[in-house]
Amino acid sequence: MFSPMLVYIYIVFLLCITLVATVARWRRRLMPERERVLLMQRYVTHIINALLEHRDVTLVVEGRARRKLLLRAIYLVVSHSYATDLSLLRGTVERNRLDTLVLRRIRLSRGVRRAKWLLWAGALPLPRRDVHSLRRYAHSGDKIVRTSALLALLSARPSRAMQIIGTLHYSLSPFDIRRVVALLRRGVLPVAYEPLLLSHNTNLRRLGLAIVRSFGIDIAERHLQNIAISARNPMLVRETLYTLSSLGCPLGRAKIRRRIETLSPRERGELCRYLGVEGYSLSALRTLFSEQELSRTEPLISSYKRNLVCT
Amino acid sequence: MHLIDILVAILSALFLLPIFRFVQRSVRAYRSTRLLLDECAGCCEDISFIGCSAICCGEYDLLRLQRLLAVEYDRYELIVVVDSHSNAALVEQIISYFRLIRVNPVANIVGGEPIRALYRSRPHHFHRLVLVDVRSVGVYDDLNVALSVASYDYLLPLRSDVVLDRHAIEALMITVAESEHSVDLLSVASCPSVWLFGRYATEQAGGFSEDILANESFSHRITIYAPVIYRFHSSGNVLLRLCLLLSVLFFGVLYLSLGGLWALVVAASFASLYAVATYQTSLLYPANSLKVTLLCYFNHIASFFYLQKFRL
Amino acid sequence: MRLIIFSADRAAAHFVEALARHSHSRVWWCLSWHHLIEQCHTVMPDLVIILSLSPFIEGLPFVEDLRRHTLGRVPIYVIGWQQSERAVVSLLESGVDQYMTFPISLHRLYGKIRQRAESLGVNV
Repeated sequence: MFSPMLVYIYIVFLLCITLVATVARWRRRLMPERERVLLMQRYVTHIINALLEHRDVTLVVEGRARRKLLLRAIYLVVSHSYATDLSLLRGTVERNRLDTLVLRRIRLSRGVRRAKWLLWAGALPLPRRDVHSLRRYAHSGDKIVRTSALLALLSARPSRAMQIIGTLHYSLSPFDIRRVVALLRRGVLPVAYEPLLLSHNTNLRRLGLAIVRSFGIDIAERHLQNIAISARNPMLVRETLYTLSSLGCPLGRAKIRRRIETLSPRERGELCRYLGVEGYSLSALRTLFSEQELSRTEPLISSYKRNLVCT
Repeated sequence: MHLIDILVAILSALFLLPIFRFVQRSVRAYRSTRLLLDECAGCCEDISFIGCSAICCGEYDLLRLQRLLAVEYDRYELIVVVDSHSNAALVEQIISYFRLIRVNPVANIVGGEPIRALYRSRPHHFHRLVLVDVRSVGVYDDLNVALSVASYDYLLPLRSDVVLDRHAIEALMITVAESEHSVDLLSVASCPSVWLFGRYATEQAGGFSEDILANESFSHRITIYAPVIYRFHSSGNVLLRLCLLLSVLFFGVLYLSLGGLWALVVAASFASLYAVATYQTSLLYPANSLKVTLLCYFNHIASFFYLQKFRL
Repeated sequence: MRLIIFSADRAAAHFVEALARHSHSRVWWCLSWHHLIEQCHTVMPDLVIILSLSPFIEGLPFVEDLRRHTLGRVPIYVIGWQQSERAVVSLLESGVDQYMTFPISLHRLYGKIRQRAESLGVNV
């Protein structure tokens, strides 16, 4: 004989799946696409007109869906523009209670949704107490959440950026550093690379290297060479070597050559190929790598050329 | 309850649980990739100095090459391996359209036929295209020739029916850069026949072959669940849905006529599978049709039992 | 002034469209290359703004087709996220008139659009 319990469990399970799919599709259709596009356009136009005329943004909207759309419009304008005066947005944020909305949604959501709300929070001029409440998310176990929280904190308190990054208990990934540099490009953080390169904190140094690469700061060569020679962290040394080569700096110093010798065969091969593609000459590479290592890169360099005279 | 009923129930649960986990990971990865690449535009230019060389063998369609070149990631190139002796006119068409010039050839590193001619483009905007003319004896030899020519550290052999999402290369490079160790092999869950090979491990393995995936050089392997690479939509979904519906009805009728809980359990499992696959297909549209989504599930289950072969 | 925006990203198109409308320009948005060519033939724009580098790096004879269909030398501005020297040289080689990067100063972009409008004698 059989137990009907198992049958019921399966039926309930199927119903749950169907319900989840239906709710997901229904949520997507809460506001028709066309209306959403038109509203978004209207909000973006209003915000940009106000910012161009350097006056307060005076939008007031009703309903959660429209407030969310307004939040998206603010994030769109702030993320695509440089040196936006966030104080002009303060009025509309308070009148529409966007700060309350975003903080509540951050608290109630999880995972990627929470990260999205944190990103949007970074585009708002939040009061100090609200910024303080975001700090706990910067220690989240979820990587995408803690990075988004870090960016929101840096946007809200740019003067304390070095302190915030310097006290992180984890290493920033290359993509996280690029996201921080994107804040720089928006004019949110200062482009002060020197204190970062001179710091003993690995995250700060890597951020400094990223700034040097991103802005092509040739005059930082001396600092970079010092890091390449003296740093203990092999990842940092490798990144510094790549940064020096992206600036086209010479790598022939004896101490730097010795540092390159400490890399693994795989890393040496990758660096050799990178230098070849970046345009370093064969004679420059011969001072750094053995003939066997060059045997793979030399034909590649030669393939970027064409013999005009065939013998 | 009969023993066979319990066994079928357990097997069904073991079959469905990895699939639900797979769907959960895919949906989460899709959402996080969308967030990172759409909302955080401008962060993907050059991640950790790593680059990707996509490889196409025997691809002569200009439209397809254009689509594969429309990648904004900076450290990316497209290597096209052709045989001018069998398709001279098509090769000429590619050379003239992309304004390619013949450059000095490269010696093979891991074997394969000697390169007859190597072409690069003079205009800067086509600089990522490399055309290799070699006698075609097999796809693995062509890939080994492309390995010799490639400038970057990761190789992405592509089938002709594979579509890259707008930010596919960026997503792959972010996944590689975020890994704590150097990645030797990256598999794409939404497209089981696509792998991103680390150049160093591939050279250590002696080049591309059908059994390359079993080679111990590829010690560090990861999987990307975001549907950034997928296969063309295939027609016949109506037929597939009909087959699934008929299977459900068949087992349901079997249960009613002969008894035995196992028939109902199998019918319910088919129905669950169909519901989950439909949900994933509609949520992650246009990445994959229902048929390909189901193939991904079966591939995911099969990967627990045997190591796949690399077939292009 | 008649302005066409070509962008696969609707959000970025909203941004530029709002700036253009501030200068009282008429704006059309195109999602695909074919639609853009069609609109150029119909609208005869005074300025084309492209918000992606893809059309220039995938091999389309973009600028030649655009200029042929607009029957004149319409300025083409490109705004993108790419910062690399190679990307900039590729665009200039393709015949683009201006390349600006995101994030962009609102006043700067508005100034460029306004400058073009004033050169046509349009009162902004």
